[in-house]
Amino acid sequence: MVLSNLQRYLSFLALSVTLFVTVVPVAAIFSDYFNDAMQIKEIWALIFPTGRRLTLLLSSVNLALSSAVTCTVLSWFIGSFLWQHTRRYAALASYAAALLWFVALLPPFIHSYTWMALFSIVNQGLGLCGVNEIRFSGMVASWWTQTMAWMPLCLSAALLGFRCVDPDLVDAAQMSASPLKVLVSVITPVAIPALLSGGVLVFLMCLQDYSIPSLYQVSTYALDIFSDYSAHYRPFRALLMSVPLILISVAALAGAIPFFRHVSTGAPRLGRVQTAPFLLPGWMRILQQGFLFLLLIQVLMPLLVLIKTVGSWERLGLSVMASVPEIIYSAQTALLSALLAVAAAVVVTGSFARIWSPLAIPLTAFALSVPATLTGIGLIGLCGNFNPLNSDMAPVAAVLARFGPLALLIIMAQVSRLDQNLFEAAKFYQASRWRVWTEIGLPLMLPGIVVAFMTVFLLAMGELSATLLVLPPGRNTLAVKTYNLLHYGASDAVAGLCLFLVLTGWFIGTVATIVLIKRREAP
Amino acid sequence: MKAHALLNGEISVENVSKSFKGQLVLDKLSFHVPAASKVLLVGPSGVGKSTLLRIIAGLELPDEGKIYIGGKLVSDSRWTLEPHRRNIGFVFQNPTLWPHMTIRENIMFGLSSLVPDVAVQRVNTLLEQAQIRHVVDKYPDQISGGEAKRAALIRSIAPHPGFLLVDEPFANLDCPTKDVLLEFLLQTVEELKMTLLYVTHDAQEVQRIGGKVISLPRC
Repeated sequence: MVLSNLQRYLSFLALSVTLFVTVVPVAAIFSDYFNDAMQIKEIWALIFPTGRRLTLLLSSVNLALSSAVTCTVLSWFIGSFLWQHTRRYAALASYAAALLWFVALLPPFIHSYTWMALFSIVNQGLGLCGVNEIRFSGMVASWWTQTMAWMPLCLSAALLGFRCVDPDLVDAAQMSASPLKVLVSVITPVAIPALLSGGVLVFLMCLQDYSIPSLYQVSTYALDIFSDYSAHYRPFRALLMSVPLILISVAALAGAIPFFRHVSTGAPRLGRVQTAPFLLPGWMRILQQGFLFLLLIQVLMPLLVLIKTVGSWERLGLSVMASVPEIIYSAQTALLSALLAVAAAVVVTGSFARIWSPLAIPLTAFALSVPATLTGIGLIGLCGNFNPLNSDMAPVAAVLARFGPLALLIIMAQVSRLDQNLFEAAKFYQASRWRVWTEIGLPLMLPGIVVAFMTVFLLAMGELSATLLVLPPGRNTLAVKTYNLLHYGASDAVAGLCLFLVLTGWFIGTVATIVLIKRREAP
Repeated sequence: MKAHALLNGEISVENVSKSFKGQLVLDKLSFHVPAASKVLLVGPSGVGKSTLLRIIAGLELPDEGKIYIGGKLVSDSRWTLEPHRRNIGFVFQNPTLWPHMTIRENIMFGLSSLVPDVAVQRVNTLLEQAQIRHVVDKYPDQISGGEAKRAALIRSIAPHPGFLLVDEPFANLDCPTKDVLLEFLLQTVEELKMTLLYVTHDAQEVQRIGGKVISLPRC
């Protein structure tokens, strides 16, 4: 029973750390209320924005919603196309996922740079032909770039959703309805939780992240919070300003939950390869293929633009060498954050899944609802009072605060899908709880662990808004450095760094794909 | 082919072969199922009974050979008529009820060509006959395994298909439930003059259903 107690303590510790980094930074800002002698009238004015701030809030919501809806719709078309062909060619989804790896490591705002570079090339050509140049800026450019930047995330969620559809359900539906009706009435509702999760995540990321709009000179509510804090250094004021964003985020998350009811939560089905075609109408196929082509452009365009801008291996080498400390620091931070997030999630889930699972959704909702800037501001205050955080651990804490609960949610969702009989059966053959957990539980949880690890790692590599505020002196992450370089117009140096990230992402993705396909083909 | 030109009559399987990952499952199989008859497909596990049903239903393509329904070619190695145009009902091994729809919605799914009042009346009658009227507004995860099997059976026969393909759906049921369901199935097949193709391992079921028995050989 010593081991059981150890598990209990570890679980309690992991949960405490998760709660500490997620909730305490924001809670700590409340203490600033006593330092910030604020009138009730001012408090209300900050919580309920009017005039310019209200317009800004509405335009931010509009921008985030447009990007999220576009992402979701495109992901549905592309995801359904890949699902449809994966039924016949099982490895197709793996190859498609490998394509997404090209852009996986790029911070989202880098897409602004590549799209701006592309339009610059196009405009040069138009100029030579005497045609007016196309203006790529403002809200439309922000919407397009955000959509393209977050589409891989949304598409990954959609692919997961489509893979969870039990092929038997599709077969049964095909007996009495056309493929289009089957897709709309049976496949999509079963795949909707994952598809919608991707859309909601994109909405939250776009709502709370100002990096892309700011590069197109578009002001957003999240940027306004950051600017206001930079001007006044009043944390409690920033907290109050964040309330509308938090409420909208919570409403978006709460609105998505009813969709999850009565929908299958089955594990991904790698099942049989089917030889009979699933023929959708011609117009649907044209749309699917058109959007797939758009995805290919989105994936390959950064690569081509970056190769053209960098020009030579020598310049690539110089860019990378000039940023070795940032590369190492970013990788360290992302790796450590992902490891800690996953370790905490595994310990909490493995020991007390039933007890803590009700906490996972509110905790994740809280973490995702808090604007990144506010998390950073909270951590600044916390670092001053809690010395261990006032170090290289600060960016790690920022990532854990924002994305740690997401790892918990992913792993808990995966565990809830596992057949509990598998664990019960193991208890008959093995008395040691440790061995049951390590030899049965952990291997079964592995897919969730890998997905959670990669999600936190990739989001950590691109995290800007919170990290920017808590970086220790003399330290810089790649995301922060490239963002600053872009603001100063040093695009050549950025191109080299980004090409390095694209090639690294592609290498990791290719290796992962080969391993996955080999494993699946193994007898 | 027009969507509503219903196929009826006999099923002919001609020289059908099928392999999966290089392993031959069906080898030049041929047989004939007369209209409104009952045929049982028997044989040990892995001989391709379910695969054959799936090929006849249009869910798989044969590697070689042809399938005719009512004298019309519906499948060869390169082309297949879509399953919903074959006038076939399919009862799968598992209930395969769509989890996001109620039992009523599950059954109504295949009745979109009927006037709504007629469709509702038909659903209610079938649910009464199968003694599961009380589950009509429940979701599949809220009903028992036996009720789910009954609901799946009703879903297959509700559109009154000309052909019913049945793939061992009652394998895990207790004897009384199995008897009730089999009786209900046979009665409906008789009333609607359906052509029945039934896959089973169970000798008692073979005896109970009667009809022609085709034993599939191992390749």
